[in-house]
Amino acid sequence: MVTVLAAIAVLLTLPALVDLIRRPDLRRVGLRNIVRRPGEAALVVLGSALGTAIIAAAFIVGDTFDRSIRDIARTELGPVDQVVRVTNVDDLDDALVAIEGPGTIAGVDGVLAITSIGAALSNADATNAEPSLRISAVDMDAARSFGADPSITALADVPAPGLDEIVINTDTRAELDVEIGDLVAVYAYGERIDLELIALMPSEGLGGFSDAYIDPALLDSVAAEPPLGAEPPSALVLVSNDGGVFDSTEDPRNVRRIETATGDRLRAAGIDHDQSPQKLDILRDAEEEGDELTQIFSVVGGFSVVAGILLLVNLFVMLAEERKPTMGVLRAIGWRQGTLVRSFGLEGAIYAIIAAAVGALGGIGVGWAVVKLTQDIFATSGNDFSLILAVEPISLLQAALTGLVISLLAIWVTSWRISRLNIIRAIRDLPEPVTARGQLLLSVGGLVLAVVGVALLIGPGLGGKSVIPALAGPALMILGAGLLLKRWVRNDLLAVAAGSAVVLWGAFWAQILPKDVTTDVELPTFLVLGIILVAGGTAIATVIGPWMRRLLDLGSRPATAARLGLAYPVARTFRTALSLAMFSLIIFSLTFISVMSSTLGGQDDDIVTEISAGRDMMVDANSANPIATGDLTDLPGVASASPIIRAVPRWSADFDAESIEDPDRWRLSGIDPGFGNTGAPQLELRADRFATDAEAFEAVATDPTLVVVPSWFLAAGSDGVEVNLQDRVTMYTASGFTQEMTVIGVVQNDFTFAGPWVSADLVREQMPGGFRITRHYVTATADTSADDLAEAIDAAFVTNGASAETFRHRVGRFLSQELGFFRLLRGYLALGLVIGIAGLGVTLVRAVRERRREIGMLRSMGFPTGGVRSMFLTEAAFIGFLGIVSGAALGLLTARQLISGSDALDEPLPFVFPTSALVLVVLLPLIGAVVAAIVPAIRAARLRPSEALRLAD
Amino acid sequence: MMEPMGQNILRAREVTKTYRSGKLEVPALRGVDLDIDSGDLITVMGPSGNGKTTLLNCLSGIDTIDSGTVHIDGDEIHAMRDGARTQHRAERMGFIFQSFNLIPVLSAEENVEVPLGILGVSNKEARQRAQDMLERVGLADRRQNRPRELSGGEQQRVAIARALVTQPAIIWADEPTGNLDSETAGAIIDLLLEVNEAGQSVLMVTHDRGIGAIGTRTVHVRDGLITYDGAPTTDGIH
Repeated sequence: MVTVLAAIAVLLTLPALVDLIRRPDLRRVGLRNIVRRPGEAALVVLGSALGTAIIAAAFIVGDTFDRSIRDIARTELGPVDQVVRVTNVDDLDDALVAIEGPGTIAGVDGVLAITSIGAALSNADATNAEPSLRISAVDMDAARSFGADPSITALADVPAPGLDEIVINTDTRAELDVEIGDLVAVYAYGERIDLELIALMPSEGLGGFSDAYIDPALLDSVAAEPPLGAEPPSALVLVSNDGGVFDSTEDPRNVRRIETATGDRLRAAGIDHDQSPQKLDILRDAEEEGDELTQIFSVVGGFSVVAGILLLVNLFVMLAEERKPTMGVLRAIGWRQGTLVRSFGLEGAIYAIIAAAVGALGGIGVGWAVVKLTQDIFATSGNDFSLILAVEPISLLQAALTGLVISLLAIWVTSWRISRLNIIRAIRDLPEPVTARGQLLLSVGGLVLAVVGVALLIGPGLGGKSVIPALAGPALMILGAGLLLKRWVRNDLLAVAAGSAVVLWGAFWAQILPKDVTTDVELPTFLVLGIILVAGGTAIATVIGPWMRRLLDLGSRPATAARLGLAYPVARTFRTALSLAMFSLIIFSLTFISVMSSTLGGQDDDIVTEISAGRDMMVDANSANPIATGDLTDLPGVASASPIIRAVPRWSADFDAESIEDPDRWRLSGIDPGFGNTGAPQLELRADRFATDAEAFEAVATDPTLVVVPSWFLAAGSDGVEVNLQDRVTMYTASGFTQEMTVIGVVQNDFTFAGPWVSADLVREQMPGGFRITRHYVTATADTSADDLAEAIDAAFVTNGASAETFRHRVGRFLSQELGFFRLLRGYLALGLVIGIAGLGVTLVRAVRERRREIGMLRSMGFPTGGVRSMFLTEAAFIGFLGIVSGAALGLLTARQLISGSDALDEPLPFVFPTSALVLVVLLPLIGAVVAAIVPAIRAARLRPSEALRLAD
Repeated sequence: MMEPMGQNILRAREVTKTYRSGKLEVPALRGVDLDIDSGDLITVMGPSGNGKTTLLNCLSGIDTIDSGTVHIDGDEIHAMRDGARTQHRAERMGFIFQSFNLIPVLSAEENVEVPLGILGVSNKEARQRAQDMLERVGLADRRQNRPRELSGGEQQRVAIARALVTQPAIIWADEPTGNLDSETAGAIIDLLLEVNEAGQSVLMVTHDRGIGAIGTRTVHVRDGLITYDGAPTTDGIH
């Protein structure tokens, strides 16, 4: 991608660079135009640089997530590439021998056996506790030399703990606030054991894989007889592939080969096991997550970038109009049209190159701010995932090149367009007339656009079931038809008709296009939709100006400043349309995101009702030390507690998404008969034979062949896959048992990560060693506050690693993260608003220069300074107001249609009007537009009439 | 509003003006005295760059002066605040420039309405008066056209209509025929003579000796000084 961009950038820059060196006349004109008005040149660069900064920031956010997730490979795995979970802990030594085999598997540089349990840890007086940690036992000598590079194990200087000793990592030490020599309490399988802390290890490599290490004999004795429902120790064999932390997975085929070879050896030895290439999975997730976030921020930033392009075109059109007589003279003395294009291109290329460099560097700051805000959002919603700012030079280069190519394309096309002038008309500053040839070209262009539109709709759109061409095709058809009809229909009527048709299409496309085209709406669709709608809305808005002028004429008061303020934008339709579209696009996207945000935020009550199953809270506990149901119900304030069995078998289904391995591990929830008596999670789909959701859940509890699944089970909902009633699902246990089940219900929101709901009896019978009772749904007594009870449960069962959370709190936490993300996107879009406002300011600064003569004349005639100021402020307010209103209206309309009136989203949601957000979205930019106009307005008003007339001449 | 014929409406004394650009100083007016009576048609002549336009700008109050006084209707206009001076111009003066300086985005009629709007004349009355004035300058059928759709002569006639529509006491004309062919220029001068005969004072800067001779007085400006102020003559200009 970078190579292609670089090639295009070189192609577009080369003519300017050649001229810079070989054409002193072009160089003089170009450079002197830049230095003549350094302030305005700086503003042009700023407008363009902001676009590049937005692109760079999108890449930086993606890189940061990529690096942060990839860093998990370093902090939690180190040399570990593959984790083999041996079903029976007694088979661990045999598994190790089997994998090591008579000869090492090619590409493997280390194999290590490790036993782990989940436990809670606290300091000696239990004032600081960590409820859910992994404690392991390992042959420390073997661990230190595990893999080819002992330094990445992080255990190089760590001594082996004795029977009454423990080693913990630095993260755990920080939570417990203990020092070497202090006692650390370990809670597992109902016991408390006090151990002396003898060493700290970095939270990296094996020091991150497990939070603490104890003596193997001690672990064996602690876990000798796990109570029913508690997770027995995990017996793991860790496999290190050749290489260090990251290069060991560079070739995924090699990783798969080693995984297969490992599995073959274990099967040959008759050892039950599960395998997962954890590092490869993490790194792949990192890449996917990074790419996804880059895409989100690129698309959202795309609105700002398009606004930046509009600004750039607008500035160059203004520049050309201002210099038209000079250009005419240059043509008269022998400059060719191509020379004019190159002269403009040279000046623009210098702006573009500086802007690309400044923008890419500025993007680091923007990216840093986005990452910082994201980290804050994670922190407020209880997510402790740590982001590490990553600024990859290649990303900066790509952003700079993207910005450069966009700017240069806009510059060259505009330069070519404006250089097509008649010498005499240019010198005399007369408009270019519409010629028969021009009209013919317009008609041909319209025809071509219409044909392209039809081809896009029928070919990749309806034929290829791709939503973007299906959406863009009809819009191009309307635009083409408009151009074709231009010679016969009045411009204003045509603008209203074509604009309305485009807006209607943009609002109702999701209902008009076939469902199989609209079911998989990708994020870039919204950028295309925004551009289409704003184009239509702008066409309509340009007609409003003349109507407003006529209204002013109807009044008795002269309102000279207002009339003059409207006269310019009304007369210069193209330039006004560019400014309007620039504002409208940003406001459209801000409004759209505000609606999505408010709609999502308004769902909390509904989601709580959906997931709570009539209870108040869920209580999770440490798998090695689960809470006994009786102990919970004995606690004051607990009215009832329903145990839920958790286990992680593998699953397949007839609706599997392609991205899912078959069969794939998925955690289930097992329920006993009577679970539905208090209530049940709400079902989005329910088999007809059940009158209520509770009845369906009762059927699941008693019939092992029935299952309720979440709507995204086995990645349904993506890849165009949907889960439906009567779908067949198969559960596979590690012991080889399989159970076919029929889907009788689908849960929409699985905020509790319940997974598929099945009969608890089935799990107990078929996975006797594999289930844990680590979750309870709890109801508080009528006189007890749910929040207070949650705190009381946490305090009472700290040694069980209890985590009690009311459903309301959980939903709020989840939504706050999503809403925070929406806020972040809004903030990111606000950068586009800066472009819009700065752009308006720049165009007005240039307008003042362009209109000096008129200002001088007006002042000579006695037009007061206040009138001149008002004239410019009216112009800014008019453009800002129209852009804002059209953008907000289009944003509301589109969001309303998508949220409540179409199948484009997973489920229709009730539309929530974003009142407070919309007030800000409308008012702030309007104030910004007027503020941006203040400086040029004051400058215009301060011009002395004689000076203005003299300078203009 | 016009004054009785012969009454002094402008008295300028010891007016100086120097243009400064960095360290460069260019004296444009070096102590100018001038009187304008109502009904005067004064042509200002002299070589380029000797201060003719500066004289017009300083006397009309659209430029500042360094020293001296300019009294119009007894008021020292350079002692006024900018707002009052601006208001004074709106009520008492009309301007015609060589390059017309019409507002390109307004029609001929709307251009003529602008000074009336500044004076607060209602839209309806302004429209009527603009139409009457355009009819008077022979452009009744071109009133909806924008400046770019008019010839140079037509544009200048619109500019004259705009200058006259408020019936100002003084009309300042800076090379009003400079951009026009001789036939069109003649028509414009006839129009100004007609206005002057109706009692309005006109101060016209011109390079054209023929036009310079038509006034009631001629003023010759050289090196920032008035070297002649008397009956129309073109002697000693160059």
